[in-house]
Amino acid sequence: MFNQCLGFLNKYKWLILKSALPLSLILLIGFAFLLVGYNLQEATQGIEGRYALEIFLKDAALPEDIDSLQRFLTQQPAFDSLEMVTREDALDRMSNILGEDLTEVLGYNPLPASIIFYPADSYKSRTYLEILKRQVELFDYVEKGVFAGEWLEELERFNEIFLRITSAFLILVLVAYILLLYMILNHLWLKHQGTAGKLHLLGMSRFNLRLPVYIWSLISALITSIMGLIILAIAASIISKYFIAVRYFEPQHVIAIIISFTAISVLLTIFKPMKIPLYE
Amino acid sequence: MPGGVNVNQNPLPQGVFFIYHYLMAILNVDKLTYRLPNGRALYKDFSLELNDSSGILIYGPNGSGKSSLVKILLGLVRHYSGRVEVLGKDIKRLSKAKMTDLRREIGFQMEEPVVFEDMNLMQNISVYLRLSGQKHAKSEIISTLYETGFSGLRNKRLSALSWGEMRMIEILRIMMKSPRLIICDQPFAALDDDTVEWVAEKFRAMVNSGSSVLATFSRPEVRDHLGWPEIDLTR
Repeated sequence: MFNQCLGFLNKYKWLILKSALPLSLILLIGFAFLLVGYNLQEATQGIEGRYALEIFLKDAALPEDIDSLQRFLTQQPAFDSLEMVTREDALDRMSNILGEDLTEVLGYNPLPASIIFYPADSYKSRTYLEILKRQVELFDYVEKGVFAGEWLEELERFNEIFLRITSAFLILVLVAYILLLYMILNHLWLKHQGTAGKLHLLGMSRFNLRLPVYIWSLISALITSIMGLIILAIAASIISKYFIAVRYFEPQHVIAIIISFTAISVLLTIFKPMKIPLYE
Repeated sequence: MPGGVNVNQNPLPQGVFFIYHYLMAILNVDKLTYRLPNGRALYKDFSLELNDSSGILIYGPNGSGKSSLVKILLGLVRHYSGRVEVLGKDIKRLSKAKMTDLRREIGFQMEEPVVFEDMNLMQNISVYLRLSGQKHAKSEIISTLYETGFSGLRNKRLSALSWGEMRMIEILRIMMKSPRLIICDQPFAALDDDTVEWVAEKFRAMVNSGSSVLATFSRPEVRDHLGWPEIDLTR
């Protein structure tokens, strides 16, 4: 039986590779959508953790003005923490982002000092930060307040729509994958049917005739899903290198994906009717 | 349409030996009636008995039901009435899986060669013997091929061989399997005279070594090669 399986796999090895390519491309599209959705969710969650109001101070602000503003802010019911960013700190941060010293280019430091106000979790909303912004802008030594609430809400809305599209698209990808796999299995069985009929006539049991096809389908699905994930990992690493940081699937996600698609393939093979022609 | 025929080269046992004789029947067909899907009856109450170390020929022109009879005996056609016992088993009562097991014990030839054309001769024989539950050493197969003059073809794919050679290879692998019962559908069809004699010689050898052979034929001159009892399906 082992030899028969090996012989069968050897006979149809090119079909495994030929079918793995279109199947893995379909999976690649599905995985790519999953990865984008996953990244978007991660990014939104990360940004939500940074809901804050940054209050830029005028150059003329005195230390006692800063103290009084800090007192005002710490007395707010939404207060969680404050971060003082001096002009030098701001310059360091900007220089780190740009990769060059701004003072060398401009000849002076153009960045103002600021205080970043982090609200408690229950106050992380656009409405609250807007009220606080209006209040602090009444102080003479405050240039302006800036918060990220508006675009965060837009991002959340976009994320929600994207997740819905991803779910619908993933169902389509899954259907396409199953249909294509079914067609490939049909093609394989049609090729094997003649030999299967002879083997059955000469005494091979139906289970033994089908077993190599199950193993074929298992190996094909493993190669397909691994190939899809490898192409995606390469694409993700290239994107990370040149554009934005991409968070790839966790190892447990990768294992779950491979097991799921292999299981789909094997189940499909088990339930696929494989008629064995005899001299009937 | 043939009636009941009892074929046995050995004298029919009498008295108390009758039960022993019945148990020894390799093939027992009793009142077989088979109709084609269009309603035409090929046989009506057809009977046949074949015992150990016997041979029988079934004669008939095209369309007389030779191949249908072979298919019935191999359990490939099941919509018939009557009783068919092969190696002591009523094949109508056997499940498809059990029938497949039973076919492993029989040596048979269908109308078309049942060989694996994308395998070479050695692989074909080896797979066939394994399917029959037998393990023969490679050297044993090679020595049989050498003795029968096929050693030069042993690494050739069967797709490169002629019809006659494929038929001879089928007989060869049946010989190596040495089953108790051999059923062949037109083993002499489309063969030249020398090959017909070769096949007849192998059949005689197999009967002498204890096998029972049922072979159908449509060329009248074949009967002279074997001289076995015969059933004429045209009668």
